[in-house]
Amino acid sequence: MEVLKDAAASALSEIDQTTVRMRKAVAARSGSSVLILWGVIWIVGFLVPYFAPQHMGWIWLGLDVIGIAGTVLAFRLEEPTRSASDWRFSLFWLLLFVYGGVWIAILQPQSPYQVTAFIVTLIMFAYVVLGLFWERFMLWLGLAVTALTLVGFYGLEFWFWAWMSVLGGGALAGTGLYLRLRWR
Amino acid sequence: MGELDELLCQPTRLRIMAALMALRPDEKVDFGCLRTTLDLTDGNLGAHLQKIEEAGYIRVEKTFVGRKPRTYLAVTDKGRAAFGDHVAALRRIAESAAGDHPHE
Repeated sequence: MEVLKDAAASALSEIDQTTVRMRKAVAARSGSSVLILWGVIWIVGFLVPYFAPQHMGWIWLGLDVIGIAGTVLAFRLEEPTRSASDWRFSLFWLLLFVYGGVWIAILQPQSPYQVTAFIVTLIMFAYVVLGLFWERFMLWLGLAVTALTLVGFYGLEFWFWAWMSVLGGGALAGTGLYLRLRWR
Repeated sequence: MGELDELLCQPTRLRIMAALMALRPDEKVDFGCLRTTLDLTDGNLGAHLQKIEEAGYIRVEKTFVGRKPRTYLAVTDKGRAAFGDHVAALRRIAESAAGDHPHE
């Protein structure tokens, strides 16, 4: 009877471990490439003011086109799961960007510093929400990057863009790499 | 009262079903993702999936993304019920056995 008990307990433990591993693997594959892509885009894009400030608008437009095309491609090629409710997750991000656009239109920020700080903290707000429901490290990372963005916004001037490149881009790319390597 | 399912007493098949049960009811998973997650070879996973599919526990859907063939897998209602019964039986064994030996 003891052997049977051990086998049953082992099977139940295996089921629990597989369940957790599967959900995390699906989640990691769904978003890691996209996070790495946007992280690299932010790292490069936030450094533009240092080497081509006069072309900042066009360069960011190009980077955004690359990012959106890459995001669509990544979800098509890497899509690990399909479901009837996939639209909810897509809608979350779409609404976030719509809200961001609406607030930028309402507040009409006067400098690229303000726009950048707003966008980075908006994405970090999404991190905080996802961290509450999913991976706890995203909650702390979101709060830390938000706080450090404010430090950079109020305390740094020349180094603000390098600060955002490392912090914002690093947070996105780092999260993608972490999810990919940890749960692969 | 659930009984142990002979098909699911095989450890790999139990892990496959556990992985598929981790998905939402309306969700289906790509073959490659399942293979990587469970650390199985194409052949090994394919052979076990065939047996589970023959039992009617999973649904296999073949489709194309662009020109690339993709296979998606999902648990059927029958599979969900069988897995639930199997897990209930495992729990009963684990708990009753523990009750038989309270001082261990």
